[in-house]
Amino acid sequence: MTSQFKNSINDYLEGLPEAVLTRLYQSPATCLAVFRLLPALARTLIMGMIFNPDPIAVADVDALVKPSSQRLKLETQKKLRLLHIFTETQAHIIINPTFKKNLRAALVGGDQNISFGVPCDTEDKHKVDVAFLDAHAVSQWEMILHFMVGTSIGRTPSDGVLNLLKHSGLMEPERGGLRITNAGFQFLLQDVNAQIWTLLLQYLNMSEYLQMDPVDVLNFIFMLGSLELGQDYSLSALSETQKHMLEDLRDYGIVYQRKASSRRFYPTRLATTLTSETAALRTASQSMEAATQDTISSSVAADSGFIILETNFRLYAYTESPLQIAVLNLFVNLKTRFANMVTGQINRDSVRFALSNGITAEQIITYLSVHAHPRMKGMEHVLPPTVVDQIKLWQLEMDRIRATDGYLFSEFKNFDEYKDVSTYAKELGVLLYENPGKRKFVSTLAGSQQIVEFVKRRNQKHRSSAN
Amino acid sequence: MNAIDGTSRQLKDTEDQTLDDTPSLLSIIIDAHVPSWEEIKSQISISEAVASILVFINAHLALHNSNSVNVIGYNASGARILYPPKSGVESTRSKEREERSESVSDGEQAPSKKDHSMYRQFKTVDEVVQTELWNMLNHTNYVEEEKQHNSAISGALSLALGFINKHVFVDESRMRARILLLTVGHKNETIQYIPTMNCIFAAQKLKIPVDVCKLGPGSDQVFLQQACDSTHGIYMDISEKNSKTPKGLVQYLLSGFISDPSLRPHIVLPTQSNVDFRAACFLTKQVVDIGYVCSVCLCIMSQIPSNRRCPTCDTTYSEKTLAGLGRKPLKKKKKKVVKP
Amino acid sequence: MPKATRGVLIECDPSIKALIVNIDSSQHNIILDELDDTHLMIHPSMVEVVKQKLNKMLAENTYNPNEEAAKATGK
Repeated sequence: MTSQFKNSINDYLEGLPEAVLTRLYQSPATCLAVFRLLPALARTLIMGMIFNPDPIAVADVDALVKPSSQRLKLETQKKLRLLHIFTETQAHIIINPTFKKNLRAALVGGDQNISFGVPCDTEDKHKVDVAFLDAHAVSQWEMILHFMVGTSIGRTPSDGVLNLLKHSGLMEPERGGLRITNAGFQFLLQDVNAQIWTLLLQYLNMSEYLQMDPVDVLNFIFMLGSLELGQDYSLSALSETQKHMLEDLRDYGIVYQRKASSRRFYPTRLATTLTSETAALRTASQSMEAATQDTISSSVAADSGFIILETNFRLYAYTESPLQIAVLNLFVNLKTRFANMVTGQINRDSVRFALSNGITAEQIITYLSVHAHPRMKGMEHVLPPTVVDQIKLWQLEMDRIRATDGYLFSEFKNFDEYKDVSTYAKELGVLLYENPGKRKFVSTLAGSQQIVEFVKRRNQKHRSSAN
Repeated sequence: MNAIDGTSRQLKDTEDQTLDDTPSLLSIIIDAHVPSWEEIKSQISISEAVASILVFINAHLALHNSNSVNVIGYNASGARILYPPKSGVESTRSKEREERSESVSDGEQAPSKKDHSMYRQFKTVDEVVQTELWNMLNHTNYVEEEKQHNSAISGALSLALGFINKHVFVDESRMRARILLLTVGHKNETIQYIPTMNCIFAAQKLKIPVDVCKLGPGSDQVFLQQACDSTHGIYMDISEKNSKTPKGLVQYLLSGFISDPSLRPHIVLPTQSNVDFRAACFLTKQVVDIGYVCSVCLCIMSQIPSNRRCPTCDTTYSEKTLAGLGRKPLKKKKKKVVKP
Repeated sequence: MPKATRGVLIECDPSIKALIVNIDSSQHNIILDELDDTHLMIHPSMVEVVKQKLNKMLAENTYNPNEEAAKATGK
């Protein structure tokens, strides 16, 4: 799941111009975060070049990679070039000096930089602990999700959040309120980390409208990823843009501030796990500890599964959270609700309902396997193959016919005429279907105009040559 | 319809061009044998080496946010895990550190809690490794060290393997592991061959690459080269013998030893070894072509040991067997052929 | 001069094509041209109608346990 957010933040970074990227690389925290987003071969190459004052010869890089993995090398080089970390001359590769200097600073430290956040020296009179931060993050985040699904929870998110949901296309205005869209449904099925990144990327896009410097925004986001949970940080290190961002981030539950005028803020678990793997990678020993100590709620750290799926398509979900039940209701026909569990069945109608709302079979299957009960995860196949296959078949059923708008060209005088015109259409790339036997072919709507003109020109040529 | 088949047929991607992004656990074993470091003081000082090692650890942690590290130090008296420290030790150490800030040698600045200009993950690891390593170096008895020539490489390797076993296999976290051995060769160093080789075989079974970085001027330890070769690790001799200088340790570490286990199949490993696979006598350390083999532990000897005991497994050979070995081959008397 | 007709190209498998031809036999305003076993040209405005009718015909042939249960409790 984290690879999805990687791709989208990568795309965003690759779209930035070189000057912006260089400014971005002036912060060591950002350099470190961008470094971690790179593919493995790129990271190894860069590490070897950081302490090397001379540029590296292209021949050396070629010699390093085995011939069978050439494609890997080419992809890596392309990516590094797009991010303006590498500039390639005839025979040498030079690493971006700002990036080099600041990544080195991140590794070696000592340089008085504030990009990793400045913790507060003074004691907080109203100190909060990790459990409080977790609870706060959960309640804020679930409030947003509940609002999207439509379960009434009493509170609605602030205007800033509503604005963001509208702009990102996750919800659309309808008759005085907001209604969830297809994209919104897909958003609900993602895991928490991916959801936060989707919102943050939308926020980035919006920030350009609002005249906020994207470099500041990105720096702050990457800094949040490197903060320590439970430690309060002072606002003195933040720029104006970043202080402004703090208000919005408070609404999402990513940071906690006692009140808007507070001089310190606490990052929550949502912030510290921004740049790490899916929430808490719990080991067997840690899970035992947590179970006996009865700590953190499981809805934020989405690592405890609760869904059991049987081969007869019946589903049992051990949850009480109205949010998760609402999400399940999207594609499961829920039948009974108990104190600690809901049961239902996955059938054709429920899956078709989800499919018609824009959710794909892949998303359903991924959601089920991510939230599968630990006992299911221990088996050879996490989900029963029969159910998985059937969901995919139901999706295939939905599109048994593929319809494309176009023009049918028929009634050619002779085979040569047919051949000329159809070859022309093929070269243009607008040919959808051809049947040489019947001398007919179909082209797209857009291409038909050009084909008609080609035919006219050809006929004129023939007429003039005949005369 | 095969496209929707849900039963997982583990078709291996023959091209295998996508790299799996698993985090990795690096076990660094550092030679803390003070006399050896004294020998190469002119080439590189201990504090420079430790600084290079810390930067390397930071680089490893930077590669992936779930990467972890395990640092072990060894000297003549044994091996000890320096990082991660036993829980409880860390808090007492930081308190002690704040109280007496000058307990470290070479005038190192005591790392302050206020200094948060470094990434928190790096900072904690660096501080602990630094203090523990200095403690280990300071508390060794210099005189005793010079007398003893044992080196606890096998102990250190066992500790590393045990740690890896617990954290990767028992806890079932999705990690790959590797071991880096940073050794300063000592000319009179004796190692326990069999325990060390057992550790190497265990590493081979678990597919843990063992890399060796040798700093000192001592001769190439053949068993270390064999270790790297059998586990597909990297062996590098950074000493003035090979016209390299240990002062550039950080660059060697960052370019040669930084590659993850998941990346290794795709790159050409910078290992330098012409591994000498020839057999060597356990007594005289010479290469033998024809010799004697102990029937219990299979150790090779070029001559019969004087005390009639095997040097490695200590079995006594009976007189009769040894006498039989000295015999020359019997000559069969040729029967005279009488021509008719 | 060759003729150009505006329409919608339908790609499907032969069984579905047979179903569409069947629908067309009662309502003669759907199919413009049958191209081959797996392709048809149909009238642009009839696409939705065809899809709905297809879904209905296919649903008739699928076993739905819910309906069975509903019928059982109803009766």
